[in-house]
Amino acid sequence: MTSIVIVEDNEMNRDMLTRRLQRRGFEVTSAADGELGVRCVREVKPDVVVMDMSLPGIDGLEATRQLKADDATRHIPIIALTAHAMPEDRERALAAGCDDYDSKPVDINRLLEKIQQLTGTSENP
Amino acid sequence: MTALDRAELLEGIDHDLELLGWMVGVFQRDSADLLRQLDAAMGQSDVEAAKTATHTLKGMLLSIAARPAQEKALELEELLRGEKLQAALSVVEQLSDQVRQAAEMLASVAIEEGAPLSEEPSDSQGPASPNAGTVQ
Repeated sequence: MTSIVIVEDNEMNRDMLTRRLQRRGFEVTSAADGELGVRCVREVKPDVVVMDMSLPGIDGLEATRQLKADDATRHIPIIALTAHAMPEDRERALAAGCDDYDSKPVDINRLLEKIQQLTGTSENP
Repeated sequence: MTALDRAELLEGIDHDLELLGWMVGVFQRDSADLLRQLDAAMGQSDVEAAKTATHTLKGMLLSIAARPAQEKALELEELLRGEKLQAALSVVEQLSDQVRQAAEMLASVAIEEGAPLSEEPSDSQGPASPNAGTVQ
């Protein structure tokens, strides 16, 4: 089963995405801020991370930098997620080490394609 | 234009009525909190706090397909980014009205669709609540 860590501070958005991915067979763990997200990824070692960029405390950019600087987690693909729609946000996310980028609202099929590309799976788990 | 796009809302939650029923209460609670935070931040001319509250609110509005309020939140974000506080104040009022309309329409859609209004959705395929797997 493909495992995913979602890092998103907003409860409604976090639980919506968690539930939609769980219903498609993914094993989902979520974290409510950047610091907890880094800790969670280090513990769970998921197949992929979906990381909101705007987080309290350590933001998604810094959390990504920390995970990509760690030998134990640098290989885990990270998909940046943001409610911004600016091209520079995508560049900043990729520069921080994110492997891909998506914008809110989440288009579940588009996100699944990105997850499949990054994890090397051809279909849902 | 209506306060939210019903078809887009339902598509965005996979027509999951249990989730919809849960979202009604969460949206009402969190959007009211964020509007209070926004008012307080504007009252103290705290641009960073106002931007944070607006951005979080915008993310929620995107998730319920509340386009008019979402566009108003984006307009407010841009004014705050430019530190145009006077202009931002009037937009805050408009945003508050639109968010309330979105909350009301979200509740109406939930009732019309027959969604069970509850605190937490249960999930037969996973934990009792998405929160069960959440590190907080």
